[in-house]
Amino acid sequence: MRASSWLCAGLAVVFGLFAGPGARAAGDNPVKIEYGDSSGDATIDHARDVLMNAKALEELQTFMSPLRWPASITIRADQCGGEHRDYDPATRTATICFEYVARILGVIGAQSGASDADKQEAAVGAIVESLLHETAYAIFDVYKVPIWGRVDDAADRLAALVMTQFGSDSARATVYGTIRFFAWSAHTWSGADFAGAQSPEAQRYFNFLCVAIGADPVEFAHVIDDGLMPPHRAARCLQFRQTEYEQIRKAFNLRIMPYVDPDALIKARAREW
Amino acid sequence: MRKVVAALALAALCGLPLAARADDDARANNVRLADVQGDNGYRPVKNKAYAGIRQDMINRKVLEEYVAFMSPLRLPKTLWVYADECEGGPGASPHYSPDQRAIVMCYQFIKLLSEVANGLVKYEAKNPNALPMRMNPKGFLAGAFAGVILHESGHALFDILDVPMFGREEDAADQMAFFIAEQFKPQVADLIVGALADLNGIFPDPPTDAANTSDPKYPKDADAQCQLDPFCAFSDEHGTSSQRMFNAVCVGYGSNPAHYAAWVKEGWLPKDRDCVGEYAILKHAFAVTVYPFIDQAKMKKVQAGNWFLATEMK
Repeated sequence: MRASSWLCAGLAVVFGLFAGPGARAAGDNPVKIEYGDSSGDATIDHARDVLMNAKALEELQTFMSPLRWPASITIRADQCGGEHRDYDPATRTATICFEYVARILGVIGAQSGASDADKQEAAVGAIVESLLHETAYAIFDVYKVPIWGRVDDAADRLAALVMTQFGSDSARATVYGTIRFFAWSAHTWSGADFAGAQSPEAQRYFNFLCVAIGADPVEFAHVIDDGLMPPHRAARCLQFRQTEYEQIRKAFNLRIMPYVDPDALIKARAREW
Repeated sequence: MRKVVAALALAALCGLPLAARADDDARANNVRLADVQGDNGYRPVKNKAYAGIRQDMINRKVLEEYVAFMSPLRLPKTLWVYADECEGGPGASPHYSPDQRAIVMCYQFIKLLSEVANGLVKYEAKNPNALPMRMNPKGFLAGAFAGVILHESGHALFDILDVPMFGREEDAADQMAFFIAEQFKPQVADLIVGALADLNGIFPDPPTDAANTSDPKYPKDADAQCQLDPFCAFSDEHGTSSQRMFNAVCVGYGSNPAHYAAWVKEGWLPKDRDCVGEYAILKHAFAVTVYPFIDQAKMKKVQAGNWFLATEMK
């Protein structure tokens, strides 16, 4: 099965849950989307094709429709010259890089022992995570959200929160897919690697899983018994007076929820899968 | 031991008698010593190994100075502070207890800091250019103590002020310490931020090789096993030591690029890390969530004070 086919199906599953009947027409949508060109490198071109064929940005644009935006933003998929391009506050543009998508597909493709289902889940989860992560930067900027802690971790935590709000099926697919990709990344960090603003994949793995455990213990708490979350951290996910999930949820309710159309949100959450 | 005492303490405020401060503060919810049966916040020790540390802290009025330092805060609820021989043995760490609404400074940790300070010169001789800031042991000890209690103050403020927390709270508490430090004269900021950067520079990062599970010394405890695993070791809610060191350097540089230009030149930060932008985000967070609770007139007086001894500032 071509990567773009199952990615398309996977993204439709996830983002399709959110696309309510009130989604705006593209012209008056404050969330603009753009697909940049790619250079002719085969892996970069393929990453671009995967995103475009899956209509990834279109799905994300629809997903964002319950938000009331005080200013327009642009979500761009582009060739960046690297895996990451910083959010541009001057143009309010968040970018997902073809190079990063190419890496996702490359890491997943190299997992010879994994089932197709697991690979599909990892690709969908990681790409959805990346889209939500980059969009989070725009949200933080446009709504002037006070951010304590590293901003990249804040973007991850917001993405994890969003992933867990639209039903167990969606949460299962995106969270397990995301952490599977992080685990498969097998990137060893040492010394000056830690100087950057991004966090190690292994750290992000546990951050995501901890939020998910707190959001839906029935679905995710088994990972503690399975040894995927050590006891020390597990306590913060499930037992603390304020779990990590409750912490991010409270922050979201205080600083971002006021800008969400509550009726549109209910319709989005009520869609059946 | 007196040298340790001197190095531990924060210098007295200039021109403000303690008695006057106590009267003003008694009417407000702010930071206060948790006195029990007249111990003035310095709990008795059970292990005599910590008796000297405790006495030195008492002699130097470390906690009283901290309370005075934090006096510009006008909190909705009182924040308590005390020193104790904490549960957990020699490795016990200072912490904020939300149940007590108290910062607990553990004698064990002060002892550890003293040992690190005493070994600093040897460490730097063996590992030249391994740490961001050259510090004398007294300065390191005083700065590290101040930095750690400000980190715990961060946790306390996040709790008491119900601060929305999008990022990881341990990184946020570090940021609170760095940010507060950078609101003071560069020499004061250097001592705190430099000490925190160096302290984290000394401690190791997660291992890169798998542990030998056949080793008879391989621990039985799941959390201890996790710390030896190259993947699981990243599960800690704290950043890695190097991450925390680089975060300190980044906030410092972002707050005052000219003063800390050497850090970029010496390669302590990647050129593409936007530390000025990161500092602006941090400043916005502080302005929105904490600054409204600060008495600005008192804050200016505290900012103007000399908080460290001359021997520590060298």
